[in-house]
Amino acid sequence: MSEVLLDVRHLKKYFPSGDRNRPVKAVDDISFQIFRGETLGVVGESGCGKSTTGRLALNLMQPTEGEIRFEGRRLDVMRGKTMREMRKQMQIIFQDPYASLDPRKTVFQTLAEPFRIHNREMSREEIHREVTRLIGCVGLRPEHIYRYPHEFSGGQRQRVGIARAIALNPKFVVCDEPVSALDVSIQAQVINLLQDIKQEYNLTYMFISHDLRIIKHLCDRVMVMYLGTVVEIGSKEAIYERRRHPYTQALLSAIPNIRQTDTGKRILLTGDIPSPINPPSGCPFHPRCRYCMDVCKREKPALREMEDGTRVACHLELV
Amino acid sequence: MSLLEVRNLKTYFYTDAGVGKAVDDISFTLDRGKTLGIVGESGCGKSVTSLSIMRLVDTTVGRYEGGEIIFDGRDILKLPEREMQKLRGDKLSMIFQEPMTSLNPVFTVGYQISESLMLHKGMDKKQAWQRSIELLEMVGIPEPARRVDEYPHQLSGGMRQRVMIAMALSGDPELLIADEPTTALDVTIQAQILALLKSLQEQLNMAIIIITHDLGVIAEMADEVAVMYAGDIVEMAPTRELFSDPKHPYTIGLMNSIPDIEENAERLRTLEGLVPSLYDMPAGCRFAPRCQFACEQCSKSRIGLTALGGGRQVRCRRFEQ
Repeated sequence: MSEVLLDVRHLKKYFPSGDRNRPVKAVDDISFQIFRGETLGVVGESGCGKSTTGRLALNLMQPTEGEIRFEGRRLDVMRGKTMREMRKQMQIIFQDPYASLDPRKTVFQTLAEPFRIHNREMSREEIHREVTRLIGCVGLRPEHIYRYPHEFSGGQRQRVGIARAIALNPKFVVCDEPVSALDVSIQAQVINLLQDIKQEYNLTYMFISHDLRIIKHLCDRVMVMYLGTVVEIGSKEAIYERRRHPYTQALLSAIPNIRQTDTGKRILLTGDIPSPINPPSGCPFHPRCRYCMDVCKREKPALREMEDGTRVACHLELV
Repeated sequence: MSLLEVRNLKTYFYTDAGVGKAVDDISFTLDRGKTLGIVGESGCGKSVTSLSIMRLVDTTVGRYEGGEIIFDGRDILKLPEREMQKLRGDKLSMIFQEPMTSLNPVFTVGYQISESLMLHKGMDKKQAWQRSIELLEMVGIPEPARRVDEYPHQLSGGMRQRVMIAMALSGDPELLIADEPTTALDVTIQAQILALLKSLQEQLNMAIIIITHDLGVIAEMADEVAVMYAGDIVEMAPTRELFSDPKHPYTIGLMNSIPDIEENAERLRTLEGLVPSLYDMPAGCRFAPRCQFACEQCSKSRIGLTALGGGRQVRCRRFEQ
């Protein structure tokens, strides 16, 4: 097993909800690790806490409880200058390339900013050279650097977002739904680019998406979240082929099938995703689970490790 | 006779940037009880096609430049607005992508469904309210008698879309147009809504036009598929044939762009380049600049649809005799 890059233990993030006694439990006691060089996929539906987890992992918000270690050092207690130093090593690519670029800055200004902040000794010529190199890396042309975001298509804007993320040679990048806002043919272009960049820069990715097809294509390991908790985490093969957790089963069977082969096997979940303000007792999935037992309503299942290393939070007898 | 026949429809937009040929000479037919899927990326004209059928195109900038839309024997484009109003929300219904913006936040769900029932069915308030509850039950909303009194913000995304469907069903539609009905929803909720649409279609024998960018949704729902690109239908085929043997290079590219859940490919085969601007269309085949098979001929003159037999049509020089 390779080295642990990011180690997250008993992480919780509660948001105030107006009712003092009932916070929104966006992330409720999750633990996981990300190994150097891998891509960990984080998948789940709205409100499962996947984006909050991504932001917590970069210390972009303070956890309510828990510890986050990056290369062995506690991130969650880091402040000021030390944190700013750390930021060079960890970056994020956001979902909406329209909202995440400053409309009043040219691509050059956007991409020069990281150097101006972190490498103050760089001359304008050096910065220019770096920005031109970066823009080439993400498949844009040198003349693009003096344009503004509105002059680009969605896919091109996302390329600028990717260039900004890799500007300072980070070790770790959180990709938060980086292709969800893009058209299918553009999605494929950006996915390939993300793969190339990962190779070239030896990156480790945390890839957050609701799209199970893309997760499968890109990731080494997958973490399935539901209502602020991790229900299953394991290798891609284990998640997609063994499908141990009933929620994983339902989620995977809900993907519309282009091959029109086994639509008969679809597991239709009844009901909606419950609110994280008022999560169900016991297992958060029990109201929608077709295997629900008495114990599921009372006790929240802990993650149990299976023989292949997959961890599953379920009261069912699983192997 | 087909329920809907669209012949050579052209919907253009006149703006400062020039003439945008959003829908440029498209034709298709749809029979009762059948589902047509229209698939394509942003700006391909799929939504303008549906708005044209509903005659909801903003006429301050948009114009129907030609063609006919024959619904139930009458040309919709020639109907006076008053007749059109009778048809809309009655025999001809539509549901939209974002149920929150299509519902009125300040009225209860029951009020909004009743409104259409009183208007189209001549029911009184009480009858309409009763029927609203029945409709909510029909679309699978639990405790409909309680939900009918709620406001849209009290409902989840999936429930709101069910309310939209209930509203669309209030006039016993013969044709339901669903424009990206599940795009804003989570995948498990999407599965519920698609299953609901299918079962309602069987019960009510409605025809459905489903518009989406998601080939998976098309595969699940449609009997026949129209693939649109830059205002054109580039390929038309029965669903099964389209997926097992796509003909147009764009259709093939689109399918290759989606990671296959059952295979492990290292890289996706992508379509290079971008969709052309509405105001600056290539002179010849509109897909030619991105097409790996494009020859000189392709970029010179427009290409018509070639019928391939078995209900298949494709707009590509490689299939022309």
